[in-house]
Amino acid sequence: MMEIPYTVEARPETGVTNVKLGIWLFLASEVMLFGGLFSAYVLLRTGAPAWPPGWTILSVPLGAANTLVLIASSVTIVMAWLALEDRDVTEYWLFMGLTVLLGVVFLVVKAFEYADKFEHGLGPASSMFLGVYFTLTGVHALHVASGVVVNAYLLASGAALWARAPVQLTNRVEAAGLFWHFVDIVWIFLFPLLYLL
Amino acid sequence: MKRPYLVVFAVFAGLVVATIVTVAVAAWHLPAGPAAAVALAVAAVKASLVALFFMHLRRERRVVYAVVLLAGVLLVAMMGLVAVTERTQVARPVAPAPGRQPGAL
Repeated sequence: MMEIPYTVEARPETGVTNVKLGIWLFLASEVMLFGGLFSAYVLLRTGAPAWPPGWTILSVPLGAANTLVLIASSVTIVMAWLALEDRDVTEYWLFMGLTVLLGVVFLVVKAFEYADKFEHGLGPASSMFLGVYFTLTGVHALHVASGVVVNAYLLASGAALWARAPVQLTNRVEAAGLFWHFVDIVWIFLFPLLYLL
Repeated sequence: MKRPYLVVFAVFAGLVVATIVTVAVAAWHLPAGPAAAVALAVAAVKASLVALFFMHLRRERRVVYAVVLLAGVLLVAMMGLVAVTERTQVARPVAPAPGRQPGAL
């Protein structure tokens, strides 16, 4: 089987591993995806004759709680990576497990918010505001779900990969962490734009 | 390796405080302009903390900065185009083509 080059040591031309360069290039493309969605939000909102403040329709306490959940998960994934750098696998499992758990908590809270809207007969087609809300938070939730799957995989396969190639696991966790932090940053902007303004 | 617990938890505390500030300021129900300015400024500070400390952008290789700069320039260009777009164009209904009923596919 062909080995992917420079997953452990840095590529001389760039000074970073291909894993890190790859995830940063992916995040750059993600900036354009969410940039397009944010642009659509701004254009629709400023062009609309009337726009309801988010707090009249959405639950600010639930949105704020989810913000704190994602911030906490950013901390735990940093701690998981630092534990691997320090060759402490037990602590890695603890913090990566917490990261997965917090990601699931975020999605469960989101599901409750969606269910509440649907129970009141409100969906993406009900109004321009709700169309934008469901689109932006839906795309973001898909990213959170993807991150949970990747983090859970790194948690489940961690022991085997750690025994075979510890630096490779450390680099993979760093890349997964970069994606997770990006998802956190997107929510940091989504929360005030949709819930507070 | 000595783990930088203090830095990690200081950033975490900063992010929590900034979130509380955002919610507290929003509760005052300021006019739309100032409210958006405060909310987005606090969000920018929070995003910078995450990027600089958790994503290690304080100390990175030049190639990573180049990728971030490229994404930033393209994002600013995109948002700049939004800023100069005439607002009324979005709300203005599209005139039907000659010979077609409004709303017909």
